[in-house]
Amino acid sequence: MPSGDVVLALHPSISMHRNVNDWERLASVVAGVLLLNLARQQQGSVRNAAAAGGIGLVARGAAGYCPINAVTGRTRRRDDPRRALSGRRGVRIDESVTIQASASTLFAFWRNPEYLPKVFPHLAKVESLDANRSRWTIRGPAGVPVSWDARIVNEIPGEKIAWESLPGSDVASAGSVTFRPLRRGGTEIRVVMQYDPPAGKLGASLAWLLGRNPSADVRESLRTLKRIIETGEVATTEGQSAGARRGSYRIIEAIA
Amino acid sequence: MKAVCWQGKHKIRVENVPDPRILNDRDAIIQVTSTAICGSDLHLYDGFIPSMAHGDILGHEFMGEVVEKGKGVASLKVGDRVIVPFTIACGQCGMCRRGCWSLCDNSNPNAWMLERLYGASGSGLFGYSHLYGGYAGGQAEFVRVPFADVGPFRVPDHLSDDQVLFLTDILPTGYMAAENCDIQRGDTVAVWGCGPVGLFAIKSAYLLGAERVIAIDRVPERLDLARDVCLAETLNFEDDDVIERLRAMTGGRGPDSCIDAVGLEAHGAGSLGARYDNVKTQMMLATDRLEVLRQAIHACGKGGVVSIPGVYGGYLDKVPVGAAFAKGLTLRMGQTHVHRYLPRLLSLIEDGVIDPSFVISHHVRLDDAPKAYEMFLKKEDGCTKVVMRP
Repeated sequence: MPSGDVVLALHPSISMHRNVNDWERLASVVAGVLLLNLARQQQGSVRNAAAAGGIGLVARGAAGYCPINAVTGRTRRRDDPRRALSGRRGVRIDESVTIQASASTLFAFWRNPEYLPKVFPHLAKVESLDANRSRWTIRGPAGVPVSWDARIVNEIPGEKIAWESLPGSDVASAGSVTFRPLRRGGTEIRVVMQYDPPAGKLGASLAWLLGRNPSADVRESLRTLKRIIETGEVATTEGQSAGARRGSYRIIEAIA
Repeated sequence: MKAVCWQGKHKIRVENVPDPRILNDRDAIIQVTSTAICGSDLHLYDGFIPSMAHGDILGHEFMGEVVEKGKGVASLKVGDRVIVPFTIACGQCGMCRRGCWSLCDNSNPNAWMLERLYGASGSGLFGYSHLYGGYAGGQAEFVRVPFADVGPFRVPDHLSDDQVLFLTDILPTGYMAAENCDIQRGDTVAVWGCGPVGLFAIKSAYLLGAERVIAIDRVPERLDLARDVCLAETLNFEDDDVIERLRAMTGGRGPDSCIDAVGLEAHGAGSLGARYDNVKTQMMLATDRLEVLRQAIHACGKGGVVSIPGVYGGYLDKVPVGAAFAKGLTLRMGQTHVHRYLPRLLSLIEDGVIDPSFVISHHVRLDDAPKAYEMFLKKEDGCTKVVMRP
């Protein structure tokens, strides 16, 4: 499946609201505060100009809206998936699993917003906003909730669901899930998604260092889904008996 | 309850641990009546298998009585007498449906670890390291058995524990090793290692139509069993040049198939390759000692099969793949699909065709496990197989 399968629908976005990205907003506030501080120590027109500039920058940062950006058409906010994920931007996940169940069963499972959080441990909840739109909340790095609104841009029952995030989301993302029945029996599920992590690729690397690898998370989730569907339970040893434990399980981590 | 716990290389302790309990709907708890020490447990004992943790309960050959079951286990009744396959299988994934039970997709909770090491994970195993799921084993008074509606296999009361216990692992393992050889009537099969798996492989090879089986070992009482009970011709690798002798005994053709029932801790006989492996594994530069595998490939006749029931774990050095290629050999290996063979092998036992209890050399109490492991490792007192009664 080509990466073009991640459907990035073109839709007119006249940015009446936020058009400044998060880092730039923070920088605006900091610069504005410094400028206001400077104004306090100045006199006359310099003081007025510095104060006006400071207030403007703080407001720009707080609101995330910049009239100059609006006029020049410059939009640095990364909530537009088409922009945030084009080219080599964003983090790409491509994971798949084979499950002994029909595509229609699996599609129905996927389409039910109550089921997905049972399988994806980091997915806190999925709320339906309307037939096409839903709000997704995950527990992000360090437990900070991250949410986005998504709309379905393509849906073929039993075969495919593709979505993209809506403007105003914390995380710009787009992705698709495809269900391919196999002649040998069972169905392949393939999840392809791209997202623009908070704090960019550096943030993604940090999250990985802290033990959060999104691709591995998705793969484990697909494994959990497979186990629930095929066996009705998830194999575990948690709570089993053992003799005296000594040391940690470091040896396992070293291998993995 | 009492359980045999791994506490490091060459350290086995019988400890008091909490009784197991049902964790999933498809679990059952078995009260163990007999449990054996497997040759592959010695790989754990010797510290050859990574990802063991202190306190892990050992044991993957065990049988007993169902004392408790989860609500998803309709096929068993409390009180049923069962043997339990050492490979844990869900019965519903694509692999189980194809009869490849030991490759079950769903039974290893730590599948991701093996995926990183090997690209994919086979089934979870009882008492065989965290790579294989970290399941508590059956060298204990009680054991939790996952997917108990699939694994545990009822055995008739008129057969003793000693007669049916080895259905859990080594009898099917020896049988599958022989079956993997695609034996044609009149074939000659060479078997390296006359431990219980090797002995069962010899018997199975004859059952499947072999005309001659040549067995190779160095432990006198094991060679005796191979010759006297299993009717093999024998070679002692310390006295004989195995490859030359095999060639001479087979009209220059080499055996039609070769079975490596030794695996990653082969001793060799001071051959250059064996010395090389020894030094490398001791320096932690290699994972496996594979002199038997090299010999089997070298000795095997053209177009033959090398069947490997012996366990290997890592990246093998100096494997004569060139020889295997030049002779058009087929290599077959893997954990045993125990479930697949149970009905067939049970009926062979019931009909008296095989009485697997001949491999047992010692019966001991569970409390004596530390001594039994040491004795088995050193092959003292004619030790071929130890059965423990909790």
